[in-house]
Amino acid sequence: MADAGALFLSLKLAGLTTLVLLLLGLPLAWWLARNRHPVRALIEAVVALPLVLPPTVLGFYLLVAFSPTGSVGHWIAALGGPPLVFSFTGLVVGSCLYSLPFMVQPLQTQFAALDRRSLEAAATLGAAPLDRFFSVILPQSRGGLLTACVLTFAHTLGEFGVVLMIGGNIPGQTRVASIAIFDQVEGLNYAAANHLSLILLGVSFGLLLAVYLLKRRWSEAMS
Amino acid sequence: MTLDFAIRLRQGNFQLEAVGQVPRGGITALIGPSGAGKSTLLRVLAGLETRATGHIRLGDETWLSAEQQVPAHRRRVGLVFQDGALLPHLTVAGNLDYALKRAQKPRLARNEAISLTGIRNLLEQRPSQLSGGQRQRVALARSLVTDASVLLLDEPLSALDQQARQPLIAILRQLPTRVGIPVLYVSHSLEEVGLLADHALLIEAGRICASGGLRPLLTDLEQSQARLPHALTPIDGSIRSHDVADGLTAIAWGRETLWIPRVGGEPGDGVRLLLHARDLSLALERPSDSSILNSVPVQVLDWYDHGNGQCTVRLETETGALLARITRRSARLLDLHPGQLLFALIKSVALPEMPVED
Repeated sequence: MADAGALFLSLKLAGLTTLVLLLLGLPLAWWLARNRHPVRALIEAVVALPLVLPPTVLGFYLLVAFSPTGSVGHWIAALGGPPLVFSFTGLVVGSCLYSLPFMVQPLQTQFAALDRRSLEAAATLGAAPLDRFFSVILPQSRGGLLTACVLTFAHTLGEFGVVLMIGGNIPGQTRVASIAIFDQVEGLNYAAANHLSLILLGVSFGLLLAVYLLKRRWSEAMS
Repeated sequence: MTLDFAIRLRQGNFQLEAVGQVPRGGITALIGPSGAGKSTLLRVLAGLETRATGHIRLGDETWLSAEQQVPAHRRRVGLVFQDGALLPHLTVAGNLDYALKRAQKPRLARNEAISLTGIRNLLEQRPSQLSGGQRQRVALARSLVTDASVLLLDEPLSALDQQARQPLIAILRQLPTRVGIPVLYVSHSLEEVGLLADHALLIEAGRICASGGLRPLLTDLEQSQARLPHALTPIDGSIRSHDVADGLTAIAWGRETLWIPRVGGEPGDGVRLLLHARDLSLALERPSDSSILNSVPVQVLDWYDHGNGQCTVRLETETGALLARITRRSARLLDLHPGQLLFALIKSVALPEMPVED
């Protein structure tokens, strides 16, 4: 199948983005949930921006910034980094920005709802801060973690505008499934477009269904 | 080993400035009205309030000083929260093992803690499936399988009904001999404290205003506890004999004998009894024709006039002070004066455990 590569690239992009965002999102969400610093509102607004911004707007500015003469691209190139425009690396960076709220917001909500007593009890039982993170916070936050990861993954899978602006349509590099579908429709290959669309629909629905079923089971176990 | 502290903490309008000691051997009660800073003091001792200044020392170990602040997880404190604070994502066994895994030398072995608190049949349950009393017993067991060198109990009975309290009180009474470390017990209930504690710290508006033996403090008319309508005197006696036919137990109390509703235990066993000030009356002579079984000779020390027709009188007995609440008219009729020899008639006695029924 001609579009297997595009599908694989989409999955790879979504997987990598989820991983990177998980590492960045955990500390950021923790900070946002636990801090009353005035800067918090500013950061919350920035994090939520991709929710309301047209993807083309975000993509446009990323394109300007990432280009070899742009502010970010210039420095990356000077430091010997990879090109960020029309490259897979650029897609990962763009997707991370675009999907940021989908990772941070569920985690932040979850962390804010955590019982402070549990953490204090764990401390008096001899658990150091990092130990508490892994033995209390993570297990008690698994619902929020799962939601955040799956939403990020599914949202990146369906990304189009940002990819089109900064990635273009290079097979094996930036031609992800959503671009391939658009391409097939442009070429009036409705059967191929339908094929790929059905797969994306199925994967997304399957993921979300699994999340809601799991969360239901977990909340029954906890209460 | 003694827990020593002199701490200062400001929280909004509230200022905690507490100096005191928690000795080993017996339970030390931290008594005071709500809002006096009892829980805050406990949290400072446990290391959960990190903005406190001053010093905290346990034996030769320093937990807080101008130079250092030992974080909560290295303080070797067993803390039982008001609501137990069990980890909801773990079973009862999981909660115990969580503590055990992080302890080098657990105060009690897993099995000892389980049998002391009677939670063996709860091990596979989740915290959400437990009743309030069960939760507190698990929390207590969990605090005993840590490296704890001091035990801090934050009103562990306050959320429980009377029926759930009894078994916990019986367990708590065994604590000092079982663990041999300082135990600080926060409560606003005189009855609870009277049954459990041996020493006390009185706290008011963030300050420790008095400390010492429980009985002298609870009967000190300078302190508000002694002036409460439900003021009481804790006394320690031992079982002399049982009278099965009459359903009574004779308690040796100094040279006196008190008859109380039958309790469990062997002759020689110690018993803590509570004498409520309102259950005592005073007479010039020992009555011989009364339904009241117990009377003891006392000497008047001083009294406090409540201004509402009531007086609380502090009396000296062979074993220590005793409070009686009488009307001002009675005081006048008795011609109450310091040094006067009277008899205290004890109408009823509050017991630590349920009377035996047979």
